[in-house]
Amino acid sequence: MMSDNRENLRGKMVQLVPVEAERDAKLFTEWHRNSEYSRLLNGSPAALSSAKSTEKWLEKNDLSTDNVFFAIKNLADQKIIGEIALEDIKPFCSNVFVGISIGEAAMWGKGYGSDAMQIILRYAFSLLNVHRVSLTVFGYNPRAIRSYEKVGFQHEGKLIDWLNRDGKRWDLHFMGILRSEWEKS
Amino acid sequence: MINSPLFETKSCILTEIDYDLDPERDSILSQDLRYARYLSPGLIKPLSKSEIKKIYEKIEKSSEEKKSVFHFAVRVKRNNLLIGFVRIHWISWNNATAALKVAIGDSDYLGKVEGELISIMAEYAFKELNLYRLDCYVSEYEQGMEQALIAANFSREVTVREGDFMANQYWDRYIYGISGELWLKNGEKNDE
Repeated sequence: MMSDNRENLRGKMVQLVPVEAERDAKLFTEWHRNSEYSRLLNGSPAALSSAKSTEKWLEKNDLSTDNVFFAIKNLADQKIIGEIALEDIKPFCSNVFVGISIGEAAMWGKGYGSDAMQIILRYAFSLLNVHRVSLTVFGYNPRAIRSYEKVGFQHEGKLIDWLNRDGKRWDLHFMGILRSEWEKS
Repeated sequence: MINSPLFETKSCILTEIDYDLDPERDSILSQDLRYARYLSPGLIKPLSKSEIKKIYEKIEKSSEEKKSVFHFAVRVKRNNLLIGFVRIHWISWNNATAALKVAIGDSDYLGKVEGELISIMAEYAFKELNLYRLDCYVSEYEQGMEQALIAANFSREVTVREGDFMANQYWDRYIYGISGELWLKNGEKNDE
């Protein structure tokens, strides 16, 4: 008999549910209006897209076999507060990348991201059978770095001055967790 | 006058893809699965001529539409034989960064020409594309390539532990990098 947690993607505070393009497009679009959020997402210039184009982009992930994309649902009020994805899933590839964002700024720094990350690590190791999970994070995001350390990610180095943002250059940090490390945690 | 050669090293020339001749040669070279790994974004396997053509088309489409890839066939200077490719990809124009791929499929040249290819591509990256820094991902088992990167003054900045699986074992994946400032400074020293 498997425990409840293995049978679904539920944690202590959040549950990972499928992204519904029609339901989530407007929400995801609105999150991007927050400059701080947009500049934490990736290395591309912060930009805004219409809900229609976001919906189309989200639909492209439907039935994808090389990534899984979930919405993060707050168990307390059933609202969608963020998104999390595993990318680069290939038949031969034992190393997958994870990306996460909490779009609702009021929920930052309260443990929702760490809870979602623990769920997706369990999913990656116990179901997808990967060997390791990797991520990258910008040097100006210490809150995220602390959260990743908390769930067991190890520092693996940084690309010096990789990012050019807000008139300065910043390092791109690499972190990773091996199956053996996850099993011990 | 600007006359330094961009597409020529001591023993190799860099050229465009030749759709008439290269698919057959690359198909033969892809029987070495170490090289096939560089060619194919999907499953690692020997590739047919038709599959190779499709890979070339995809590269050229990316190159033309997004301007995020610069790909060159590598040929031996004395006989024009295709031995692999070099590519600058994952270009982030707003950050002025990119990654370098050097793939040699002919075992007679493996471990012998990487140094000159890294050098010509770094010149291209910093003097033609005007990048700020250049990265290069290399597996622990590609020792010749790693030695060539170190000799070219690249520094190991990241160790993705057990990030690659090959020949029934896990290998670390290293990310080496160099800034344009350091590359150009070293070039000036060599010219003195």
